[in-house]
Amino acid sequence: MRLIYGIINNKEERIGEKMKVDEQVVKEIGSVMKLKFTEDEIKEFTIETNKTLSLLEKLGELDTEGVEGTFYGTVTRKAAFRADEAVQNKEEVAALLEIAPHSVDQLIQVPAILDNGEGGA
Amino acid sequence: MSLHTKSVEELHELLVNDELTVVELVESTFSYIESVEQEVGAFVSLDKEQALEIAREVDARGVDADNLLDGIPVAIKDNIVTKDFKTTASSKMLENFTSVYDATVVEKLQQAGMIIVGKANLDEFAMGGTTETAKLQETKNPWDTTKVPGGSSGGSAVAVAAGMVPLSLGTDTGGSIRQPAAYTNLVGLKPTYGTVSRYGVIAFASSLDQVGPMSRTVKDNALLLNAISGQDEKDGTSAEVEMDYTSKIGQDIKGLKIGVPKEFFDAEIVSTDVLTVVQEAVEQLKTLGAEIVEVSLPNTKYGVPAYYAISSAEASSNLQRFDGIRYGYTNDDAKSLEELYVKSRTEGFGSEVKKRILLGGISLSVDHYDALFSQATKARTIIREEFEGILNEVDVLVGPTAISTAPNIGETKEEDSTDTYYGDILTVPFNLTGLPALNIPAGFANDLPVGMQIMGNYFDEATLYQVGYAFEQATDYHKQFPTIEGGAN
Repeated sequence: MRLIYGIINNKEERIGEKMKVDEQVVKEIGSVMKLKFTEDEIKEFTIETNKTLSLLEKLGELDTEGVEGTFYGTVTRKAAFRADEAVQNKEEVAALLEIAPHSVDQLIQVPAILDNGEGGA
Repeated sequence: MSLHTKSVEELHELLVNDELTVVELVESTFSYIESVEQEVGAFVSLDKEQALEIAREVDARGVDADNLLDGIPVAIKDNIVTKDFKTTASSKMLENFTSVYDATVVEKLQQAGMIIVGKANLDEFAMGGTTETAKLQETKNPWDTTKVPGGSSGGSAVAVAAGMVPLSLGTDTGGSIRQPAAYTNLVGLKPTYGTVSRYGVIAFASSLDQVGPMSRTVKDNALLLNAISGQDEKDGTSAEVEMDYTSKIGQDIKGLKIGVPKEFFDAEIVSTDVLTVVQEAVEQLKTLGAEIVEVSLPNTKYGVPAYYAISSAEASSNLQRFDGIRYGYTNDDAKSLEELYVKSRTEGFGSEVKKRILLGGISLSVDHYDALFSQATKARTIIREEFEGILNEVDVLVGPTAISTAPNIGETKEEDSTDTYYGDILTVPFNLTGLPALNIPAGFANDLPVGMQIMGNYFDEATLYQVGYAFEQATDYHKQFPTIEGGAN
């Protein structure tokens, strides 16, 4: 559960310490998030993110020793369950293929996966 | 006959007494929308022909005298999916997207006989508090078109505040129903988490998002909540709860214990003009017989940082689905799968969305997880327990909804983003805790509306409406309408 999107640096930040990211981190996290920032965006997002992180540092003031995290919206009544049965709605499948940017027969088409698209898949 | 200021109950009376047909109501609705929409820009899309077709069907079968919502026009925030309209989230990413299914709340509106006139503008993917991050429409506050309408449900608010429709649906992840309601003189509810199905709502932060009603009166709001609430097997987090939310409307509030959290009246956070109006509103509640007690919620200040660490993390995960492959914007020149992902997302998302995804990625990264996401979830527990404790001692809490009246268009863009984020300080605790919170019109400051927030216990919306209605009946703020150029008919 600890490693969500990969190691960015080899050090771990400690709660309550000054939080700061540099342009390289912004670029790398952007890449993990499948986003490519321009040089101007990298500069702007680094400044903006550091301002936001300085606000988030406030969380470090709280003594959370022994406190369990809340990860879900609070449900104090019985949750909704349904039968674990596969449902196939052919009309919906056809409609989904219809709105896909590229499809062939009954499949959604994507560019080549293995060779970066340069030599054909 | 001027219909655009009437409540749902008044319109229903006209419909069942054959003084008005649903077709006439829809014709009048669109004629009014056409006269004011250019001024305020509430909608991303509208469909008059389709609305008229449904109106003819309702007229043909006859309006149900027992169903106040039958034949009533409604607007829906454009992050709630519909088969009959595009659903854009006001983003280039979904500019041409039409869902293959309807959200559960949309099906419920249709079952209630309501007529969906269009899809209302919002901050891109509901990320923002002014509707200025919207990519497909510019929305202005009908009370002063140099001001923002608030957000992210700005279009839903303006559609009702300007008198285009009597009701709309918004979504609220950190205040996105209540704050625009406060800026535009509306009643807006963020229901208890789980009250309304999220199936078919484009997810921003799944543990915080709720759909809720926006209206000009408290009773109209409760009627719409009755229609959209209920457990849904398509949303595992929807709660098993059946109730009539209008049940306490009209009951007096004598002896009701109302907590006033001192942190919500901090002059360093909330502007003086807003505080003055809300303090007078609290006095009004006292006059109506409520017992006012000061309470303290010192951990409120950790709400904003916890909210941004959690909501951005959830957003970064939820928005992974926009990959350029199955639906939405795609880059046609991509030579590889990786390039397709990166180019489609980079070109499809706007700047604010990218910033939130980035922050979410940082919040969940191994370097920052302990200090950000994990610490925020623990802060959330502390805040929740604090609010639950206070709500064992009082019936409801009241305070301002927003820290100021509506700012000028462009003003918050020039501000430090951290200042802008702090604008959510009074609303985010109720998303973090899951508790319900209702904004009602509380008065005016410099001719701009001020909202009061009434906050209560889990699934106790009926008491919020009881207090809101008592206040509404003792005041006439809800009867005041903005003057809009072109809207004089």
